[in-house]
Amino acid sequence: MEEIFRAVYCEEVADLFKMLGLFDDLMQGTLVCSICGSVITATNFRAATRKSGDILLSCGREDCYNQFMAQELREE
Amino acid sequence: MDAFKVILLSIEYGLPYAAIAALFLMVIYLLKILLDEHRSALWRGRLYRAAFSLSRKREHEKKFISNDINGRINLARQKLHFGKELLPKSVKVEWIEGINGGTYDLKEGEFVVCLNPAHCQEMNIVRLATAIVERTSLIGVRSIVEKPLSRAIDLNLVRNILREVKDRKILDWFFSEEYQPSMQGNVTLSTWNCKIVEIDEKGLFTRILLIELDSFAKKITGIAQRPFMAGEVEGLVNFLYLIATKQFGQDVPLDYIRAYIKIGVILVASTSKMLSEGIEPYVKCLSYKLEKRINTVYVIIFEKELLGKVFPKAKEEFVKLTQCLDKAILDNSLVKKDFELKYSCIDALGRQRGAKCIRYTIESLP
Repeated sequence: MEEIFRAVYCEEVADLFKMLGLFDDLMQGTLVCSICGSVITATNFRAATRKSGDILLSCGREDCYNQFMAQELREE
Repeated sequence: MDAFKVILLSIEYGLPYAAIAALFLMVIYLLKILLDEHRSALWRGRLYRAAFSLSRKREHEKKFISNDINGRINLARQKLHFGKELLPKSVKVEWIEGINGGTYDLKEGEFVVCLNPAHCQEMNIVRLATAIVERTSLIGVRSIVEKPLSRAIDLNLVRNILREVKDRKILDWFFSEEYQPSMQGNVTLSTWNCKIVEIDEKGLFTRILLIELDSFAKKITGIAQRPFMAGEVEGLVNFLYLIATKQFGQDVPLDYIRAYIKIGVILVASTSKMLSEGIEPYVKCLSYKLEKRINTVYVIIFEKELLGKVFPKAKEEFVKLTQCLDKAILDNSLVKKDFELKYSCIDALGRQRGAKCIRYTIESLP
């Protein structure tokens, strides 16, 4: 049994957001971390997942990343 | 002249055979690597690192990063035992293809992780080790357990995986950037962490605590969460902590009986007791635990390396008696052996010591 993680190179984060159709939101600063609520940028982006159809994001803070991976997401 | 002849003969006959033997061994070694998915990933990673250092191409760099993570974390994971299973699930890192153009549909439950360049590989390894622990451990109990406790369990599990990676740079990065900052200013987390570290040092973390949490999670599946469930988990940690920090001659509780977790521990630590009284007290202890309707018994036997050096016969007798104890326990038709694991731990005097942990499950009477 294995857990598959999709990876994106740190310098290609903007391209990932283009592929996800979220590039404009990234540029406008409307994307927020699902844990702490801080604005997601191309430099502080750490992880993404889809839950109940919505794309959720995590910023670069270790605590946010850990909670995000454990799916302890904010209910909003 | 004779020596010269020997050299000539060895060149004529010896060296070809030696070369064939060496070639044969090399083929076996290469086959072993190719057949082992994780070892071959590690080697692929090394080859791509060499290719990247020459070409500086991103394609090579990315292949090095993913193969190196897959190989190192999974090989480390194979050295950790979760009872009779491996802990936790293996990790597989796959780059998102066609990143320059095209679309990508992030599937439900799929995770995308941002990885750093090759020169920050220690950071990538720590991130993925953390991710795999967070995604696969404490399943079914994570929402019950209070956050500082679950964090302490996760941190120690990540530490165990990274320790097996055997790269001090990675461990240093983890301790300075994750482990210690997590503890700073968080008294509750530090307190739980101290307990988990003690439990881990005595070898009871992956062999008892995580096993029992997994078993607890299975028992409460589909049951509405209640506040006492968190207390049951915290009580288990405190129970194991008391055993882990037990001093010679100190009495500590050896049974933990709650609504869902009902475990008993039999410590076989005192040589003189075993040699003078035999297995009788331990068998009686088991009967007593059965009466209390305990459903799992752990027998922890500490090896007697020092005794073996001074009195080899006494050590032999001790080993025989522990084998008799195992048979006597299994004579009870309700008892089944789940696993037996040998490990090394740090004793109360700070010495590295061999030990054995045997888990017996007890079928409940109708």
